[in-house]
Amino acid sequence: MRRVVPALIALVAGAAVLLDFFLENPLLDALGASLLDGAVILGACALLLGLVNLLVVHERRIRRRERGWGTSVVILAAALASLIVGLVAWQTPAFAWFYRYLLFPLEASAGALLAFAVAQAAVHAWRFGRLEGSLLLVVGLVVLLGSLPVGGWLNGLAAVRDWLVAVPVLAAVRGLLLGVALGVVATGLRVLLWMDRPYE
Amino acid sequence: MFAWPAVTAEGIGTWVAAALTLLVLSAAWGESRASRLGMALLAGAAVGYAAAVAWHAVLWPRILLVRADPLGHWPLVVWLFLGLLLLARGLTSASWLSNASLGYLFGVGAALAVGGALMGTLVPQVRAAIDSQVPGGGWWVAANALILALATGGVLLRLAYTGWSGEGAVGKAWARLAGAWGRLGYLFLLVAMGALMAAVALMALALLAARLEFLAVDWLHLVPR
Amino acid sequence: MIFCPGCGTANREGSRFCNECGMRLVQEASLPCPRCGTLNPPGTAHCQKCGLGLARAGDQEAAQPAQPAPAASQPEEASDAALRDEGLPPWLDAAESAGDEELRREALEDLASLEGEAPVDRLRTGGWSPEAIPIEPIVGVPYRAYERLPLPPTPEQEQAAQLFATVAAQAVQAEPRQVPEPKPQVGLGAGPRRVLNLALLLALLVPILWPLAPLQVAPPVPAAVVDAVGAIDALPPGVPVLVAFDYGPALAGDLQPVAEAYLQQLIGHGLRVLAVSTQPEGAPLADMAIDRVLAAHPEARYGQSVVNLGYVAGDEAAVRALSMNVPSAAPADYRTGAPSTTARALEGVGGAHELPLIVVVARDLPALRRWIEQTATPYGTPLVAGLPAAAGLAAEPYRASGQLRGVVAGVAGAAAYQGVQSGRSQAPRGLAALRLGAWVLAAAVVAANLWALAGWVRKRGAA
Repeated sequence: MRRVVPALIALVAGAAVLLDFFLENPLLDALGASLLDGAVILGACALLLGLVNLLVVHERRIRRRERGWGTSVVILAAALASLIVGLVAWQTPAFAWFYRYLLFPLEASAGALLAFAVAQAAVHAWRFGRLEGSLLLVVGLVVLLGSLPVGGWLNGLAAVRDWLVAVPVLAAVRGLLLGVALGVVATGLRVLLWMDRPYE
Repeated sequence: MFAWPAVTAEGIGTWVAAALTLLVLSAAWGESRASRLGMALLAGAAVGYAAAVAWHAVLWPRILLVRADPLGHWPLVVWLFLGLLLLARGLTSASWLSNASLGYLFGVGAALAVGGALMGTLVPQVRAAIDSQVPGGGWWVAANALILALATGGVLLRLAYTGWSGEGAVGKAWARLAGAWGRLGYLFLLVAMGALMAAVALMALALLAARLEFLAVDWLHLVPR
Repeated sequence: MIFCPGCGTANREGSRFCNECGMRLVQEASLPCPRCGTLNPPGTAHCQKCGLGLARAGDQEAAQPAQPAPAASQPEEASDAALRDEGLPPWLDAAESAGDEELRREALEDLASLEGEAPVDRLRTGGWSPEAIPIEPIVGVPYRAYERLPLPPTPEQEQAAQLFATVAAQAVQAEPRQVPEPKPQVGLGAGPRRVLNLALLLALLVPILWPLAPLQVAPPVPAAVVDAVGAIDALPPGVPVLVAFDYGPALAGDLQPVAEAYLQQLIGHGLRVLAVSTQPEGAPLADMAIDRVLAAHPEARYGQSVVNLGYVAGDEAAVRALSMNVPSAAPADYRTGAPSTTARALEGVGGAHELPLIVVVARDLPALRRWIEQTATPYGTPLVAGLPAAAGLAAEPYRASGQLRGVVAGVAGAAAYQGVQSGRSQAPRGLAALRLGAWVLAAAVVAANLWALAGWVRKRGAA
């Protein structure tokens, strides 16, 4: 029973949404809209679950004084502070301040760190010698310098870059997109047909 | 030029934001307690914030609708109950309660993904790939069309046919052709990877430039905005 | 022949262990030796272990107790008789019965010379003794640990034993001490990495602080940007347009200029903007962009010209729900909390697929693909996108197929977009910094390759 009910729900809900995707029918549309509303609500509850999971994991780590429990204290404190401010001060200047001057700079700076990692990766991987490194080197430099030309010979490089993007890169990415789409269809059908049950 | 900040919410906030920015960016010199502290703050704050937004933006308005008209919005009652069951996933003793909610989420998600991939990507992209093989237009257009066909097919074969040997004369011949074409696809994949890596580098540099601009302009007022 | 019960190999009569697998061969009706107790196969003349004559022993045991060997009249005869009583090995017996007098005499002389030695000593000197050498097959015999003679320990053994005693005497730790694994070095070492990072920081900072003329060049205008501008310009004033802010602060440095550029054009054209986000952190970014644009357009009002509908959860489900019915999927105004249906900007709006245009500012290709797959392509709704530089490249197949009408990618795209809109080329500070940063990175890559080449030339020269 415990295994059959979730599988049945997955099949019925999935089939209804899939039919609504391909067929035009007022009844199906209404059913599909309601099912999607449910998915939206469950998606929001998944975010709450993420918070619950974080609290449970880090509380356990602190209680048992496991390695790195100091970091867990910081994570828990930040999560609780963020949650309380968000719940209590929603749509107030305090909440806007919290977002703009605490959360935003933290996330934006973490994104900015990517520059150093990518630079290191480029210096390490774009190496003349082997086929892979040589191709990466040539194409990488053309795109890097050709994306923002300032005139002169760099304009010629920009033309090469535009051709690279419009023909070989486009074709390769299209192949990847097709491959990914095929994989998505296969995996989705496996879930709907009970061959895979990731919800157990 | 540089001026001491005003004791306002924005002034204090700018200094707090600058301190947090420097805390995280200190990882550029090497991982340290400061950068780890910054990351820990981010990890916790992001999750707490997302939960608060989920409550206020999605759940609470729907709870109010149900409170105002329970019968008129009875499906919402069902979905909210399923959502409550989903939270049981966090408890090891009662996590089985969430299986129904997860089954629902996976079922709807899989259906949307299958429909979208078929109608939104597979069909249009195959059609576009065929349309790109337009006859005429000169040798340059023909050469580009040939490259498009070789690269798209080669990448697909590279993804699909790895280590396939084939049986029979026709099977073996096809396996050899697929292998050779797949190796050509591998070269085009490398070209795409190089271009994408360079584009990621440009994006990342822009993100770093934006933080430095904040520090120099908004915090230290070294340059007017 | 005796057949082994384990492997079925035929073994010769009298074998106690199988020659093939070493299994003990149990035999029925065995003859027990009265001296050593060994079970011998029926019909065996001498005991297989100690050599005692089994036929004479059987006869004499019943009649009388063991008698001492009779005194021999001659030493050879005496020793011959004594050996016979003691028990001759089968091979010697066989030699005797075969009539090989010479072989027998040599064996007897050997045996006499070993008289009085201990069995172990006899073993060392090469002699034979019925006690020293049990007659067993070599193949398949299980290993026996022989008794070691007590020897004094060497200094190394003493040291090892003391160390063992010290470790064994220590208390067991509740939690083992964590020994950090040495991290394998990948890529650059710490020194070159810091130099590279510092160079990048300076390359980005210098153009921000001091405008450098060679870098302040407007970027080229891609066709994708022109198409995006054209798609918005073609709309009549007053129609609603959905703008999705599907990114967070991590990519705000690259995408916030793009979003603001789109909003500027939309609000400047008198279109109604419905801002929404499928990312939790996207709604406040929409608010920030709306505030900046409204400050530049005082004729536009929040609620009438633009409304922020906030966050809709569920990724694909959120996009599909919005495409079916926007007010149902986003029931509340993010800024005021009032029901979204009260906002004038939302008047007459049903599903997103009915709108004349959707603008998606997305953090990556999967976020954009949701909109293409769930709304734009199934319903044919025109879609333009704002993307980071990398995702802009990856979205080219969608643009080539017509599923995407236009794309504005990154800071450079935003500058080009504003240039097309305003008719004046734009080169913001961030663009100049980006240029110099890209050149420094390219120089670092080239320098690393030259360094590697120099190292290779040195090795070749040395070889």
